[in-house]
Amino acid sequence: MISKSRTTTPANRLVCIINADPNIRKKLGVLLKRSKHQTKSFASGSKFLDKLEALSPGCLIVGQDLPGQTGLEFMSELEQRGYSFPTILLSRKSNVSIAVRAIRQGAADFVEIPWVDRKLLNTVDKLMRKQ
Amino acid sequence: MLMGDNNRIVFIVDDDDAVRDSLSFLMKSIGIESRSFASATEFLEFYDDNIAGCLVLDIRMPGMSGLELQDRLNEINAILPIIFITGHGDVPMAVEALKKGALDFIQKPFRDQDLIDRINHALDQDHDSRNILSEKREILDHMDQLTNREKEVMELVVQGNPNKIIAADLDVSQRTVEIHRARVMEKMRARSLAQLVRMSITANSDP
Repeated sequence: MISKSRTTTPANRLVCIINADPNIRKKLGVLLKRSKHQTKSFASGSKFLDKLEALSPGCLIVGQDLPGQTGLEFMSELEQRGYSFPTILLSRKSNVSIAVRAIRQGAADFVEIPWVDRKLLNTVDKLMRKQ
Repeated sequence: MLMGDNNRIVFIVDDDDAVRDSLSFLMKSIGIESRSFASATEFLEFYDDNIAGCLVLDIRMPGMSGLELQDRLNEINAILPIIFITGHGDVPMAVEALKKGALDFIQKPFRDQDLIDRINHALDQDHDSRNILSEKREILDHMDQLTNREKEVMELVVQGNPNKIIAADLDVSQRTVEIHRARVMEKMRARSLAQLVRMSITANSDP
């Protein structure tokens, strides 16, 4: 599974991790790198937007608790600016209504913390392969 | 409410007796007919997709789960919209159900009015879907009455081709195209080209 994604994912596509929690950024980075994904991490939505012009994101993993805004709000902001990236919303406090809103708003998936490594990797592989 | 709306039924599938009782009572209090089932299997035995309504379905049940019942209904292209009853921890299941076309969710414990609003929305949705479907069936019935040549002409007409081009395309006279075209309009019961185009779009639509 994992080696397959390496051959089909364009080498310069990034998995962008946007999360306020440094531990989560680190954990996700290690997990994804081990599966041959290239990653870049950002502590907030605005830090990601600052660098966006120079990036080519293949997918985003967005935390629901971002500084100054929720992950859902950040997703709307991206949409308003005319961007659409396959997005996984990652949330610690989760309930059905947030999950439903996320999917309706176009998130490819909604993942609760703690996540299951294998499932999360499968989803990322799928999103990266789609394009 | 419109005539005929009385024929809709809110189906309730939940293994919890207390939930079934209180939902049946709630439906009765607002004058909507309901039927309760203690399991997905019992519901499937009774179920007929020609009955308008909606399904209020517990996502977590022993035996066949709510998600499995949704799969069965999807396999037979059922119209019935589903409102899932979920618990606090059912997030991954809700995400899956939503991706598979669930209309709505309500988390336990819920306020009666919240559920009533969702049920009314689901019933409207069901009503609309059934209207679109019956319109489509009618159009397809009319299309079945066309000869192959008439079907070809209709195809070329709705693409916006003038008779002259159609005549050249099919290697017939312009007069013949006019006759075919008139037959198409008559058999399809279309009063204008615009209406014929709309019919063709509906006939080729997905659901």
